[in-house]
Amino acid sequence: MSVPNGGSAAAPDILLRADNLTIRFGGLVAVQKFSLSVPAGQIVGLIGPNGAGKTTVFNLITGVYTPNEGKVYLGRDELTGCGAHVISRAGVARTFQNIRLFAGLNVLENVTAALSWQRRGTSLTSLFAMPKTVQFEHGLHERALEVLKFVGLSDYADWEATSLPYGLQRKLEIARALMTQSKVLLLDEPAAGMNPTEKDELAGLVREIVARFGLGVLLIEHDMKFVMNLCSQITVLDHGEVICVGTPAEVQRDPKVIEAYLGADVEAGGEDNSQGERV
Amino acid sequence: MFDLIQYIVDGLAVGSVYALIALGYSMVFGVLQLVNFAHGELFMVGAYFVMYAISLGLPWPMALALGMTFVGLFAVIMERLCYKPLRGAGKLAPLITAVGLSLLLQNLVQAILGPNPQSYPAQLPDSSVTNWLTAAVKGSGEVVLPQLPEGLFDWGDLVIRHRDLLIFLVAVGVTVGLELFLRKSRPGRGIRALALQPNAARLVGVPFDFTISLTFFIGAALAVVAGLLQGMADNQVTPFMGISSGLKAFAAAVLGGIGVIPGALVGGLVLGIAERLLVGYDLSTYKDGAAFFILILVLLLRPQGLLGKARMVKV
Amino acid sequence: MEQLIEYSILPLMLFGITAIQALGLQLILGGAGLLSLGHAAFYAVGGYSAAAFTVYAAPALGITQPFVMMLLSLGVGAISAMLAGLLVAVPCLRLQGDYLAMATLGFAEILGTALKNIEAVGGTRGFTGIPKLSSLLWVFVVLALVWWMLHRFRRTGLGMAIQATRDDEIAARSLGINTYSSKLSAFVIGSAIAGLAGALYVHALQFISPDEADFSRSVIIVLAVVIGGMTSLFGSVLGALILVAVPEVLRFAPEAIREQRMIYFALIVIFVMLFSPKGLQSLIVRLLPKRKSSARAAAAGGKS
Repeated sequence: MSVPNGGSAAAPDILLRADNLTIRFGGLVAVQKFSLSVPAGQIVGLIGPNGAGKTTVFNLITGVYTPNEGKVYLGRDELTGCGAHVISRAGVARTFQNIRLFAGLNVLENVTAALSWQRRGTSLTSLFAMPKTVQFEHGLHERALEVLKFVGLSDYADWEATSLPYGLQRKLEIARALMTQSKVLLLDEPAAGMNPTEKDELAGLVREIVARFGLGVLLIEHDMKFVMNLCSQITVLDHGEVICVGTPAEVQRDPKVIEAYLGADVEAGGEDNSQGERV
Repeated sequence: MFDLIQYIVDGLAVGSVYALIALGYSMVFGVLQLVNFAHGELFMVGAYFVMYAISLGLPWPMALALGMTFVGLFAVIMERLCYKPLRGAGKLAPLITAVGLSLLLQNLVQAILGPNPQSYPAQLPDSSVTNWLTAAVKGSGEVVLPQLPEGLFDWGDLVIRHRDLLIFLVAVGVTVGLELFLRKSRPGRGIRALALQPNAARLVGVPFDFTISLTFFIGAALAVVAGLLQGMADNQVTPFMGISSGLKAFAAAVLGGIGVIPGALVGGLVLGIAERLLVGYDLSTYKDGAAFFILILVLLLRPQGLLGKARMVKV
Repeated sequence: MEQLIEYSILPLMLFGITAIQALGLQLILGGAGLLSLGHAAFYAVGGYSAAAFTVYAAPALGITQPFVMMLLSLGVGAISAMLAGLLVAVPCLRLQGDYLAMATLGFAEILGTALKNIEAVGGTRGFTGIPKLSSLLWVFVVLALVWWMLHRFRRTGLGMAIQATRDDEIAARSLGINTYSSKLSAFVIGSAIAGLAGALYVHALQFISPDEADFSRSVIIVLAVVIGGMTSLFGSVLGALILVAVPEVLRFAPEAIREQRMIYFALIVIFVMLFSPKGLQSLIVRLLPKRKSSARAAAAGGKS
């Protein structure tokens, strides 16, 4: 499907576009005038020191928060202020920095749950096991198995999701997001807590996702090597504002970026967790 | 017209008791976002405790102080044993546990003391322990039962009983005192900090477990005050007073704005007045439904309550 | 022998009816993670409506065939309870926190108050003169049907969406699941099932009183679901069995023990929540020969 051209909303190959997003919590401006675009088939990085507001940007794009100002577009459709589930259905999928799997479901069910809303028919047909429902379930099941195979989790289909090793849990989150057949995939620190081999494997997987499905990927990651290798374009965030946009090489040379990182603690793993439950 | 004013005035006393119980619900919910379903039972246990202590011959202030301490500590232990292990286990587990605790306390009291209402002075079971206790406490002196004042302010059409006025003043006094404690004292500010931003409060050194225990202690102690007042006002204490008044008090807390201290008072008074009006206008069969009707109405129209501010949900 | 059968029919029916109620609540509590403290109210709504149907509407419509009457009254019971569930859930599920529990409780109290004041259905005296249409067979057929439906329902799209919503609302929404309508569906279906139980009850005992909407009745159902193990359908049925059987067994025990069964139940609930959230069914499952789980354990061993 080609994105129709014309109109100022988006250039032809731009899938996701955030335009001047701002959000304030009480008096605190968490993100200010944030803009970014993710083209189809490309991996865009979003980096910045801890507490810069990267996850908040994800929450703004995916509808967990509604921005005070600014807009979010997918192709030519405006998604600002839509509910999180509406934005997901429109084609924006994500993973979470602090893994959020469905603890009561097994690995396969975690993936099938992702398309459960597409069910045909009503609550009643689900209850009485009507042929249509059964057929739909079969389709869903097949697809989920395929996705699991693609990320390499086939052998774990009937495991309890939360009993998987950490690295595999992150992969399962990616599988779940892929199942939604989104156009854009937002990955929030997918390599966190992985060893170098696992990281290489993950990078391969992300590349394959882009190559095979033509998705646009937006990636938050603290591992600079990982980001620099994978991304074609990088946006750097500090104190809620964009301080630099460019290719990996450009970003690495930028004095503002260097200062932001030297002034902050680069090595600390994970963001400061003082706000209670975080997305 | 004068009927109406009279009913409102009468309703204030009933509402004051609800308010005192509602304060406990409100504080605990503010700090832990937990509906401590067993809170009403603390009120009931408190009412019994104080009644027995007085009937043993203790002067009422001492009985009240003992009751507040005992039930307060009981609430603290209950929190440590049953709620604390469930922190972080979601909202459902502590809520179900609270329902179980409520059921347990109600049935325990019923099993030990019997399902029938007791009135002052309570008949103590005849055993060597109680005999010894009675002897130790009162010696040879007479038991002096506390009395609520019996007089009236009589303005012809409008009559205010001294006891109603006293109960109302106690409720207002306690609410003001509690609000001052929460604003001015160090542990009180700790409770407020915990309610506003649990993790930030921890970071700046608010002792987490202690503050939660303190919240439970204060809530339970206030419920004991309510238990003494209601026990004396009705001259009757039953194992079921906790569940009925407790649920109404919860409705009062939500009505006023759960987590807001003056809200509990306002909610309790409004509810008491509403109930008294229904009785006054011959609709007493609807009286017990009134609290819940108001509760659902508030949840629909103004979920944050009369005095509450809409809170931003933390994600 | 005949006497024994006679004597055991009523407890068996009560077990079946309680089990149906518990299965309905299991979907709400274990499936969707919502606490309804007014489940008995939906049961009473179903019971009263079904009774009103057979007493007033059916004769007017010229329906006399007992089988048809019972079947239709089941439908009436389920639909009326479903509508009542909708009425309570639509506003309350939009709210955060434990308000649903309190709102359902409030609804139950209001309903009880209202029923006491409606003379057409007997007021405080209760609704009498209901024809005996239900039987042990009806109860167990409905129980089996409900159990089978809910068992299947777990795997359907909606069933999956409900469980995902329970486990993590934010993640569920990020995958396109409308968490509000998931919760609403669970609540409404659970209420409808309670209505079925109500219809069976009134046509078995030929009587229902406003006490059936009482908070203490709702608590019994919560106890059944939690004690049995709220994550499984089997657990709810087991819980219902325990709740109905214990008083029957204790009939022969000394009064001091019999009278205190609520204390034991309360203690078990607290114990289950603190130490064994999967309830008593997990004990039984552990005792059964483990085919599936040991195979899985072996597979796990091979992989890790």
